[in-house]
Amino acid sequence: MGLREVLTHLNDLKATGIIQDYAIGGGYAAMLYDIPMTTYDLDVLAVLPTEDDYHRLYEHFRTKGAKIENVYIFIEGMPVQFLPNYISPLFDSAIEEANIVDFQGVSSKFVSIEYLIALYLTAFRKKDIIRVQSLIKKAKKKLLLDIIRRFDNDQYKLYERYKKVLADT
Amino acid sequence: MTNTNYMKDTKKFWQTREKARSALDKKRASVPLTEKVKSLESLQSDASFLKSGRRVLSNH
Repeated sequence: MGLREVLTHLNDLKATGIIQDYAIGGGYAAMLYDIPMTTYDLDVLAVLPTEDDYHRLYEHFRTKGAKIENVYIFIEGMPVQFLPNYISPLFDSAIEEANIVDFQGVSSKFVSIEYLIALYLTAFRKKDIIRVQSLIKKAKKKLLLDIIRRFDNDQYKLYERYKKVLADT
Repeated sequence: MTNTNYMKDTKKFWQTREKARSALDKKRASVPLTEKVKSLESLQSDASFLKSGRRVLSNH
């Protein structure tokens, strides 16, 4: 079983209303944009407007007997981490403006390069900085700056972090 | 845009996730070599699958 089956499951979650929408982020989105990556878990940004919706998602999988470890739900053997949109408006926009990609009959949404960079800037661990340095070469600079300015705040300091990455690149 | 009440303090949320990710990494590091090879092959297969994708809608 592979990624195709996992995406089919995610589409089923959307079709049955358990999640309202979703977009793949993290390492798998970076791989879509040809950034070599060693990642084994799938980050899924999901429209789950309240914590109750988020708990209902886990309940759905628990009822089906799926393996759940910490925050990970194992779908077709792949650890999947759902990141609910109530965490930040940045998640909402990243899902809303994601790219739709077709894999021979299975369609899925993937966070755009520019939003992926903004999301990595919010986490800003060492490995995130390395990923930003790779992704930045492929990003549309004007669009990226627009996203960074739109979602910049005291907590994440996106613009400051962006300038720091540029200076170190 | 959905009608969402965004979380005010996300620190705990990210800490929980970071802990879970570390636990998963630790577990993965301790599996036998054959399992590691299998994971790597699966990752390569996923990378090829991603390459086969055709962008049908780009919002930018």
